[in-house]
Amino acid sequence: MQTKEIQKIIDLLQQNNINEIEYKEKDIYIRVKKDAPVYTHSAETPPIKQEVVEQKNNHTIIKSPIVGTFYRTPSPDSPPYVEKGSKVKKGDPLCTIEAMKLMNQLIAEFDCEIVSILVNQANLVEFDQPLFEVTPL
Amino acid sequence: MIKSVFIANRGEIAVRIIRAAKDLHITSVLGYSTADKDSLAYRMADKKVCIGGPKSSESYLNISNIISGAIASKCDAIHPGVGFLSENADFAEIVTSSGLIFIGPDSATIRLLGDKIASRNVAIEAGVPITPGSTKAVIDIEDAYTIAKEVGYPIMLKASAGGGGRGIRIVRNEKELPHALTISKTEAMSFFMDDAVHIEKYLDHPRHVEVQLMGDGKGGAFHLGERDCSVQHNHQKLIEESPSTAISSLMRKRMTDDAVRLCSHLHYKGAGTVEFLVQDNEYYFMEVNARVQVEHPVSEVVNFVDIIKEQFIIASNEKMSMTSSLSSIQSHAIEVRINALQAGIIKELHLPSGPWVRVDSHIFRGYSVSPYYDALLAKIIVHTAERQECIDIMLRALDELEIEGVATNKDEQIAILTSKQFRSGAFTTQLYEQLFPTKGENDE
Repeated sequence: MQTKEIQKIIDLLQQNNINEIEYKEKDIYIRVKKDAPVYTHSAETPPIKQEVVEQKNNHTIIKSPIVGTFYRTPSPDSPPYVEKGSKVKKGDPLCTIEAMKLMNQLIAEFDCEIVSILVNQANLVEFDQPLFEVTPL
Repeated sequence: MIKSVFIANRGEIAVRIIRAAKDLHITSVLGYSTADKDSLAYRMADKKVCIGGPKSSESYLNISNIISGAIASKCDAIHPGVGFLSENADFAEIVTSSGLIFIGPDSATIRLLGDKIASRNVAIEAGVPITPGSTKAVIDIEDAYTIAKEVGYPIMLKASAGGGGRGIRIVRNEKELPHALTISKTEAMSFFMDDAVHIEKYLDHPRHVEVQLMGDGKGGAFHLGERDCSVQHNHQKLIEESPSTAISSLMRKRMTDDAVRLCSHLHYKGAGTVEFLVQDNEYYFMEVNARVQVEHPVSEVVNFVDIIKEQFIIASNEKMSMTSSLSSIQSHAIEVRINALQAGIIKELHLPSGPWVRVDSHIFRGYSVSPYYDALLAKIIVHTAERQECIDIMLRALDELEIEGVATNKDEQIAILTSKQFRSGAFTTQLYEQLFPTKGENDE
């Protein structure tokens, strides 16, 4: 089996929103598995990286990349990740969005200051919904 | 009864589902992509949740966003519509395990029927005739030679995980077989991630006739007569009608009885269609579409049954409104699909109306036909006492139809309806190619 063909199988995996492919042909057997499954009941908190960002007035809007329930805190009794005026470093968590029993942390992609938080605790957020108004630092 | 339904679909079918939900006082929550923000379904739904970007993979196929949207908006059921996730067994299973009702058959039934070899075997179990061919995946070329010889050329190599006409290769003689087998296995792998293929006799002048079924999930099943979908291009249906001009009343009785028996055997739940090919006075089981179909209005009008409403009733585990199968056919219905030939903005629009005309559509003046999704703009359904009048009224409706800004297949549909062959009722699935020889068929 050629590297090109293996790459083709990996591409299939990526494009089709699936987790695992098994391929059998004569004496060849290959199994390709994604690291982070699309659907899982695990309580781990893999960060979501792909933020949708939009410019508005002088501020930058950080939007939700997924549909889920918005939480400002990592757990019910902990303090919020960020408050109005918080200065956030690239890689810091901003909020948790629960989707299909999976807690997804939204991570800042750049250094910024929080101007306003646009969603209330435990509300549904849609794809593309504005979550934070920030000023890049 | 279901109180609130999440609609994981778009376009005309989303509008159709919202209408049925309204009739049943069910709250409709539409999951929509950013490209469908100005859609009619968006305007009509009680609530809406954006589930992702324009590409289907980001939205209408995004299982996590759909489930999260449904749960967070407190729906108790998901209607998958047609296409997208409607026949995805994994999705159906996740919906159920998330505590929601999946409006459709059980995931196990969907999985079984998605496997064409398994469904051929189920048909045999239920005593339904199948096309001559294999009941197991082809093992190797020697196996293929043996089966093909038994069946007799021409044969078809079919991807077992395929369906809807995809993943099919016609083989006319023994010489072509080795090459065709290699190609079809590779194609099956790349399209369906499963390289299993099987052999079926190729029918070269068939009619496509399908039986609409409703099952209660406990073994009870009714049929709503048949639809003839022989007018196709590249396996895409263009015109559907009921009853079919291809079958005698005796064949209708046998075929619908077979379909009911199969559905009952499967403990099939909800709306489904058993597809058959008819050739030379014989009929053969092809596949079951485990969902509602685009052409369902044809059966609705000849039976006075709202199929989507029945889907909601069955999914709610309540008693179907129907108490028996269609007893006899007393009228005729034709559906014509109006498809866009390109993306663009609809500048002017007049949809036909008047006696005997029903139009199911999601378009309006100013609507932008998106390049991301299928081309269906409107379904025009005409229901009259008999077929010739039905064709005449359909032609009147098409004459009224005005769509400006986006090229459509309207003229082509008029040409088909006015053709001698269509009028006579004696034609095959080759009708389109006969009428428009230059448009050719995709090489498959």
